[in-house]
Amino acid sequence: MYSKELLKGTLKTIVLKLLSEHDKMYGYEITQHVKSETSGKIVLTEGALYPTLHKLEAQGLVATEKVVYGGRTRKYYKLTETGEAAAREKINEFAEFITTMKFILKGNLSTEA
Amino acid sequence: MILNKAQTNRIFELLKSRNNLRDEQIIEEMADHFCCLVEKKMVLGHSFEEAFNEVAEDLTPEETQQIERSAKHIQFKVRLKKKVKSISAVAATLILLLVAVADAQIKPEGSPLKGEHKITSSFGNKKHPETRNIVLHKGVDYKVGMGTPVYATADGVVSETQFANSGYGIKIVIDHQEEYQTLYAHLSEIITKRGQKVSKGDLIGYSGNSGRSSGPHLHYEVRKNGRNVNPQPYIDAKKK
Repeated sequence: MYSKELLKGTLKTIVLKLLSEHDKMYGYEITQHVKSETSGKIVLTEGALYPTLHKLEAQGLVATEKVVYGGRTRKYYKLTETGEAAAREKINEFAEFITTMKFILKGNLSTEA
Repeated sequence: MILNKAQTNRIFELLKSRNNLRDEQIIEEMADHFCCLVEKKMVLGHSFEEAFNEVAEDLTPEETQQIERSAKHIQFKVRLKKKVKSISAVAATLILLLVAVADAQIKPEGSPLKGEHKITSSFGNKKHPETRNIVLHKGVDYKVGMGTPVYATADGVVSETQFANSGYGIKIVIDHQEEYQTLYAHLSEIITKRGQKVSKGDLIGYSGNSGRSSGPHLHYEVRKNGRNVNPQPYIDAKKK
């Protein structure tokens, strides 16, 4: 697992990227996806994920939809048009960031990928 | 695998009592999350009780309250933004109104005399009756007898009174806010004082033949931002 500090700046990008690949997702589903896709290297805590989702909602980047599921209600998140544009921007920015970081860390990077 | 009503209710209860959550939306969302975690564990072979206790240990009150606090903070910011927007709208309206009021500068209107009086010399370049030189006649001359009442043509403050035997003779200058001034000359008497506030229509003096004058008349000037302008449109602007 990576440090909190390292994840802090990437959480929004991770969420936007996941939502851009799915029609709609709920919180638990997002945590499970991240966990399985990163082989458990990135684990989103509830205390980090939900505030991020709520912020995205307040900013109008995601819209929500409630669906009754058993005896409870499930809240789904879905990218808005603005959200889709923001997702593209964030993903590009981050990809570029990784390229730059590779350049800085060139000697330290292992060749196995 | 989906939890039954009783199991779901236990999760709701825990979130409300032990986790001390208050926000309905947060409780709803956390309950679904909690249920999912329990269901996953049950699929892997745990009993409900085991799964419930394990998840309850993971999903601490600190964790869930952090979510509630953050949500509250976000709601507060959204409301604040709305408020600021509506306040700025009010402020903008007020500023527009102020500008409109400020723009509605007091203007001299109507005649400084009551009733109809003949204008014997209008504003503009004129041959001076004595020197025969072309000079600007800075105001209008009304033909009136001695002692005809003269009235202020707008609200203002008397900024100048003069009792001289040359030039304008006995004269009054009134400042109307910053933009306009009016001048009344060749009077016989002044019944106002320098610094006195006057209202439109106030009696300020009586006409005469003082100063450089070839017969009883009233010389009336309008100045806009310090420059003489033709008083005629202002005199005619009376009926608004």
